[in-house]
Amino acid sequence: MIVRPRLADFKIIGLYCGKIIIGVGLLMVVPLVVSVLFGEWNPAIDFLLGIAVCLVFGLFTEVFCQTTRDLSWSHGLVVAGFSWILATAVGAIPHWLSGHFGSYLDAMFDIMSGYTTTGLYLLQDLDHISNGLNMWRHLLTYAGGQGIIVIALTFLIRGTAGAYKIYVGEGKDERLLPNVIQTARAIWLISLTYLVVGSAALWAVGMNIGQSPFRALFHAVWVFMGSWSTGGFAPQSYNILYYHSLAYEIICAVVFIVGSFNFALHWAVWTGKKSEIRKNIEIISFFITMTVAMLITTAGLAKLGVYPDIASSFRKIFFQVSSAHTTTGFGTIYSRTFVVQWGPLAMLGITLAMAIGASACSTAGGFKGIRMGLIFKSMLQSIRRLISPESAYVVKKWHHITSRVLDDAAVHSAMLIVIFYILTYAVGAIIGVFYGYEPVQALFDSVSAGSNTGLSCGVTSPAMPALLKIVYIVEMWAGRLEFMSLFALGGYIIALFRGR
Amino acid sequence: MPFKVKLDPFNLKDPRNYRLYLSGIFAEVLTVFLLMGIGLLIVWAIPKLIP
Repeated sequence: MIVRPRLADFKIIGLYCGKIIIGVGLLMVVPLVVSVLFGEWNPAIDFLLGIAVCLVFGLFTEVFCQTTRDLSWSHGLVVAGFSWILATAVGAIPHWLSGHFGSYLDAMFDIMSGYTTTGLYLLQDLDHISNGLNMWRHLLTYAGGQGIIVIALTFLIRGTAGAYKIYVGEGKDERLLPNVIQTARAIWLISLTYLVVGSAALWAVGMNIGQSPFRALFHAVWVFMGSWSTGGFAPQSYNILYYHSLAYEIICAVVFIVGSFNFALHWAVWTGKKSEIRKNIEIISFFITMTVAMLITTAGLAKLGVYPDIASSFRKIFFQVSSAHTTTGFGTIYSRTFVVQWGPLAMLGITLAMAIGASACSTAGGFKGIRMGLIFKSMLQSIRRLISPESAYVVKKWHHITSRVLDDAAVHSAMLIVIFYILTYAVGAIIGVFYGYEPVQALFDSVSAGSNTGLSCGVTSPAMPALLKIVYIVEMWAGRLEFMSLFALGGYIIALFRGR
Repeated sequence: MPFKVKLDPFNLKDPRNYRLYLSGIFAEVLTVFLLMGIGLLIVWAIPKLIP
């Protein structure tokens, strides 16, 4: 029997969603300050309106949804899923008011892309937007990378036993420390330390290539936010190609690859367990799949003779493949270069890298290295079982922070999520082909959206059909939350109509 | 009996924590450069294997 949600259930969901929306409103204070600093009064008013809507909504839920009950698992998952939609709707207000978007749907597309650290965008005339709006785009992606729930847990939700349930709903199911609030703080400690180190390095290079100190600083912080959160937003439409600097590209690659590591791995290494890097299943899996993607892409480009020497080949291929594999979406080539120069084989290599993605409990998307590792180990275990005597008991171990025995439940769960990802990629690709795009190109952009990467071969543009925009928004959302919250939300809606 | 004092990684006033953070960052960056080395090897070798 399906139990219909009661008023008390809606109250608790509303209360926590309200807290998260207040968090979004408080985040808007940063771009507001930047707008005021630069004397950009129109964007400042846009952000003030956005903040007002968020605070009114949040205070409304505080008053009307007040409850002393704590969250259950289903509440946590529904809050995680629903709050992302609400945060997208209200976060799009300053975007829409800026006048750089053809429709509110386009503005919501960019906000969802920012929160989910995807990096696809429909914004028009990126090179001439205000500094405040640029700060908002990059802050979105930085905050979304750490998780908007993590922000709320750190600053707004304290001392609740149910907090872990919304944290899990956001696709981060690992506790770095026994306490979930401490876990959220550890995530922020790692991210903010890298923010200081990475931005300083990019700032120095920015000034060295001729940017003024002030401009170099802002670009450094924005590009760092896009890199670390594996987001892919950049302040210029030429993306990282704009800087024409090898040093800038190397720093970006280091930041987004390190940013794609599991936060639990960061914490282990930072607290003295250095050997974790060479033992961890996700790092081993990442090295293997990255090698495979590099092999395919290099073979495709070598066959066509696109680049004349090893230096230029390495510079372009490594950046694009690692950006795809970490689901960052930064590029040092134009979007259409994938189609007109790189060709289908290299595009498939990039698509494969995007589909697999990087580590779980990181800012990255895709299948995740841990799942690939578990499935591969399970295949090896099955082969060993076949060639071993019937009485033999074959045990396979895997290592992630601690050594564990491979069990069927873990493999089953990994395979299930991978199948959902494949289905999501396929739906977007089929709808793309329906609208007349080439299959390889439709698959490329669909995988990019579903894995939260952000590379595009030209399909994603303001002129694309509205239905395809909606499909990509849902892909980005489902891919970021890893389906669980999506199903919980769907279940809740069904229970609303069919429950007793 | 010798004993090891466990650091509180959140204590930003303790300078030993900064050494810990920096050594962590160094280990992670080194891993990325190892990956770049593998990438360079692939880009060097593959064109030689393709006729």
